[in-house]
Amino acid sequence: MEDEIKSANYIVEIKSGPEPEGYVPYARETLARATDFLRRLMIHAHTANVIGTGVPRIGPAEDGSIDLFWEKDDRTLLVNFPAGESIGNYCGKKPKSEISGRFDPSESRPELVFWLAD
Amino acid sequence: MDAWPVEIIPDPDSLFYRVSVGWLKPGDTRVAPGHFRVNKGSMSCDWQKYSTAAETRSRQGAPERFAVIRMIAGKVREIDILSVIHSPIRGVEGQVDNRAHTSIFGLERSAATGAIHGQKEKIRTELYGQFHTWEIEPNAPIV
Repeated sequence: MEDEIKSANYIVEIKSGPEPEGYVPYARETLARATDFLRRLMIHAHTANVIGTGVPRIGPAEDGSIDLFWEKDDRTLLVNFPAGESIGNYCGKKPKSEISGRFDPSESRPELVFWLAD
Repeated sequence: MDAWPVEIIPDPDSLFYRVSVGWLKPGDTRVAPGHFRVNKGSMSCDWQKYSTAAETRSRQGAPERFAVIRMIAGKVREIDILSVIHSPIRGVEGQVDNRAHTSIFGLERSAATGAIHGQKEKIRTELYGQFHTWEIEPNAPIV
């Protein structure tokens, strides 16, 4: 996980893309919100002996926001951290189960790792 | 200059969607949900009737800076609130004429006030699930 977090630093170096108009840069604060949340989530998983959640991909998304994306077998979980906002959004899908909603990235959401691992 | 007519895009037809290689993690060329984005009110792509994937890649110049995903119109329409509308561009200041230009609407509404929480993430996950392979890979030779 720490390797993925370290390698995600490329995101804050991304320059405006093909459409510079309206471009929102990727802020270190946004990346920190995402990676701090991920660390807390994994601590919960470790504490609860939840295994097999895997490591998410950390990537850039629209308007300076940053994604955590788990893709494991037949399930996915996408968690988005908007730029300059204190609210994140998520959606998880697996057979016969779907979850979605908003959350405060400063809080822990251990149910997400339980859902992912279940 | 007359505008090009707006046509109905059949469900089986392909749409070419351009992705900046600058969004990719060095050494990792996989498609990601974060590649599906709104630009000026919709997701812009090109209809196969008037464009090849290579033309989509090079339309704004510097084709080496882009990769291309192929999407199928009917599969896009099956996703939640998405719609596919042919929207050719001709004679618009600051924009390259493009008869193939097509707009995918819905993703922009999914994050608006009053939208269902997590709907945008759901749509992006479904777009990724349907279209996660490259038609033209990042760093592919220019043809």
